[in-house]
Amino acid sequence: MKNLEERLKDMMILALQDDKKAYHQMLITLSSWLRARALRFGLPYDEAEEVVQEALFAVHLKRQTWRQDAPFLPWVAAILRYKMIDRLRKRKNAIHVPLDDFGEDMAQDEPSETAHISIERFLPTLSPQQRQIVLGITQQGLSYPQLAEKLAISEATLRVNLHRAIKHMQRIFQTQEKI
Amino acid sequence: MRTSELVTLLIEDKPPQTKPLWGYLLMAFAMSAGAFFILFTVRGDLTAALLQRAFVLKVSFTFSLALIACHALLKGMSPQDNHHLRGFLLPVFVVIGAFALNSLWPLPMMEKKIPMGGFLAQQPWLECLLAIPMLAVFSFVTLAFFAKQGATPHLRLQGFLLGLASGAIAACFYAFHCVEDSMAYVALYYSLAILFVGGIGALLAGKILRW
Repeated sequence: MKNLEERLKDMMILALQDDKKAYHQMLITLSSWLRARALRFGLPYDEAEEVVQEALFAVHLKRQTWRQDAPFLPWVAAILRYKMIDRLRKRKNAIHVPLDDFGEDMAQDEPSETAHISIERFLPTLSPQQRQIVLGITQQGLSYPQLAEKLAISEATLRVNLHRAIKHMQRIFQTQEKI
Repeated sequence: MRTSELVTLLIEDKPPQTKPLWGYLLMAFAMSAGAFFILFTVRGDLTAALLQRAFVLKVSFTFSLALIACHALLKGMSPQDNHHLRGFLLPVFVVIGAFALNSLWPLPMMEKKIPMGGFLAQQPWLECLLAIPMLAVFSFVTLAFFAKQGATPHLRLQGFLLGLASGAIAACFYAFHCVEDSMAYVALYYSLAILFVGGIGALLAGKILRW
């Protein structure tokens, strides 16, 4: 049986070839791994979940920086470490973080709704069309053609707007002063 | 929105493909060339200078510095690749140091009893120190778009490399305007101007390269 590194690496390679199912599976598995790491740093659930989401944004937007001949989890760990340091820097709290403590323990389920209020607050900062796209995909489960037809835009426009919305959401995460 | 919803959102998005460094590099050189021809003139004795060892070394120095800095910039794009950076920085400073030492060997100013301070001060150093950073703006902006695609945890170092590459590209073009080819002059003022742009890059890195 393959270990986590091999499974995630295989899924990521497939994801880079546009395999949505593999990408979905990879992100779900990865979010559990990231969550376990964030919680091991001693962050409260809410904050740990925000770090997980920030790291997922980074994995998604910077996935081209991973080389297929390199190990996958150290790449993700480097992203998580950067996001953790960035977060701690913003907090300006001198708490001790064992940065080298990257063990192999796994997964807890996603915490409760209270952990995700932070993302809700940036939805209003999106343009009306971007908000409709984000909500259409995440909450109504619409496909690209359905959503494009509903919004009376082309699929290409939808794709571009979705990408812009995701980048905007990541920027909001980065610039938020108060966590 | 829950994390699972974020995942749903992310799998629907297809990030644009990363554009290769050589494309940005070509663009940086093209923009610097355009700016150079608008703002400066090519030195009158270029044909003769092309045959001079000092001129060839001057251009080679700036060009190799630009390539080495760009290579280091490329190597620093991934969050796990940054251990390579220091190794790549070393040759840059070895090149600078070699030029500085080379400039001291013949010591023409001493043979002619001209103090070194006076020798260096006679040159159009202020123009050099201003022109190279000014020209570097164009390549800096272009290469910044490339560097922004990366995910380095060492922002200042990457910013410094960005500045170093831009400054070296600018110096490469400025070398065709500047009539001063002496090793001491190039090693001191070109290096200072390039390092200054590198410093600016390091200062701006937190703003432009954060991811």
